[in-house]
Amino acid sequence: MDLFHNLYLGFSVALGLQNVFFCLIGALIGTLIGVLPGIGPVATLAMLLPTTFYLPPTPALIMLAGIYYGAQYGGSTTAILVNLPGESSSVVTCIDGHKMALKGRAGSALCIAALGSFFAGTVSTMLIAAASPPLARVALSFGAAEYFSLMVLGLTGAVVLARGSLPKAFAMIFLGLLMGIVGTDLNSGQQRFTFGLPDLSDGINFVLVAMGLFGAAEIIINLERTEGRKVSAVIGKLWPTMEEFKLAWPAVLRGTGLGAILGVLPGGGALLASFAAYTLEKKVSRTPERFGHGAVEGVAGPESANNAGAQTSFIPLLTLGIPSNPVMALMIGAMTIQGIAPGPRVMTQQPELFWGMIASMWVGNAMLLVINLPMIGLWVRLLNVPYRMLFPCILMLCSIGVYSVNSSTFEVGMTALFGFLGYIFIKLGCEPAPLILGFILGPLMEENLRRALVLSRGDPLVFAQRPISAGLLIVAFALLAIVLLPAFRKTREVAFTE
Amino acid sequence: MRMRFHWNQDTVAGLMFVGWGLVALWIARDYPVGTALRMGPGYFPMMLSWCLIVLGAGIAIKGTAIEGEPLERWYFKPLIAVCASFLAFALLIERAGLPAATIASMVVGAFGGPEFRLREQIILAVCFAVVSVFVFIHALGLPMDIWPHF
Repeated sequence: MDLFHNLYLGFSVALGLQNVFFCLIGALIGTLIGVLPGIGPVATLAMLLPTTFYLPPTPALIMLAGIYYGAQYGGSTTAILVNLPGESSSVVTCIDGHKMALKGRAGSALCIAALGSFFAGTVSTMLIAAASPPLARVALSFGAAEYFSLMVLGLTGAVVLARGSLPKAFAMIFLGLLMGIVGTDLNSGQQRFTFGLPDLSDGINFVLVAMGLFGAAEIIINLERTEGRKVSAVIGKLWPTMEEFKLAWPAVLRGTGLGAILGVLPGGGALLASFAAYTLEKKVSRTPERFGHGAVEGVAGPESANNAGAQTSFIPLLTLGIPSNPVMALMIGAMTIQGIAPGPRVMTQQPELFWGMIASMWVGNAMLLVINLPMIGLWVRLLNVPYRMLFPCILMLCSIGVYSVNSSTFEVGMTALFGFLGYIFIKLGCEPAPLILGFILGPLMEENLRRALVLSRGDPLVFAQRPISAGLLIVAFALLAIVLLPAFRKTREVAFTE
Repeated sequence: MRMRFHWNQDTVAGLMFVGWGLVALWIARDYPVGTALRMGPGYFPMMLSWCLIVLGAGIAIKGTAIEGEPLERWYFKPLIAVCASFLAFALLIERAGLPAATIASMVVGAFGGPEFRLREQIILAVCFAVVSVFVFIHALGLPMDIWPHF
């Protein structure tokens, strides 16, 4: 069996001492930022990216991946104990998780969240291993036209499935694409939007864009809101009762399935998965009135879903080289820095890296179970660190992180600018996530558009004539059409406001 | 019934997008556009700029017609403190070294917090500076100075 052979290869890489170590570091840091509200995985990945320059590619990517799914575990702790989402994907866990904590069932809620996440992580790791090779084979036959259409689909999906206003999200994508092509044009050597500054001739560094929009801007917004944190100290017994267990396991199964599917979709990932799972649990429940008052399913479903979604969102990245959310956009950046061109060839050219990373996800999930359950008291204590002491440290890590990428003070200054822009965007109700996706895809999209049109002698119909490309575009338009239907629009709004 | 003109998040966001598009179009005015077959460096930017302008105008016009989300109040203290913190680091890191830059920009950033306690922040900053010298310069080997040079 090919799959077993590949997994064997993967585990032999992932269980190497160095890789286990960095997997653990990633999982620990992920849990830490997951527990601490006010700092998300995007900013953390951007901050820690420079430290991975000195590592070989495999441990570097293993660590970065660990941060992302580790954050999903940690986020639930804060949601349950403090009624604050430690991570945006844990927003819905607050609703029932915190109610359970108030009833003295905090330990049980934490345990269900962790076990559900672990189950979801295991299933979706298998799914990645099984689904990636065939997908990558399809992707190998892609030409420039297919890639362009794929990116159109990816960006459309990212907008449709994200929350907030559609037209604004599209505008943010165009703005991101425009910012992405700042720098020297590869074909003609023309300097574009550089204002004659040599610092900009290589383009704007995506680390500083992510750091400004997701790090600095979020800190500013957090500082505006006064904090009212109350840690419910009583965790209670960790092990859930038989009755709770019976209620939880079907929800875990449903959450895992839903999350795994939504994670693969462009724009999907942990956040969407958890919202959708909560809505689903409420729909299928025979006693929906219990939701909002400490329903076990309301914790089990979304927590499994967000972890499944976090993991399967690696599928488009690893097989197609297309990021489905900002975290994956940063992973692309990390791979590029390591000299790896993300895409279908990674699997065949660097099987150790590819399978090692997948196997490490399972190893990481197993570690997280240990990190989260027996060590829960430690994380709770961390929650007592006041934000006024935390945010200057985060700011410094951002500054040092940006500076260490290129030793450029110009880029540190630019981070302040992007922090300011990010603040404006948030104040105007514009989500920054589509912008960063556009930013990463801008140069790729232009390149493939140009190449496709040169090959077709300038005939734009090429995108409709090649079957795969046409299919991708049709799906993109269909997605758009569905969203514009009034009926669907309403459910979308409901799904995100709940 | 008279149509009322609304200023809300959408109106301003739309105008902002139009602004970005116009500025980009103006900067890119001299870039060779070329044809679809042989695209010049100006082709893609021009396309994007026009998309931004049209979309932005649509958002703004629709925004004026509906009630929409009201504009939020701006809080300048954290905004300025956070941006100034980055700028302080940028200005100091190559002249004054990592510890000095760290302490200065942390204290500047801390002004943006809900309550500012000078002593606490200075102690925190000094501790952070010591740790970061060890972690970033000694352990990770980042090329940064420890002491100022004149």
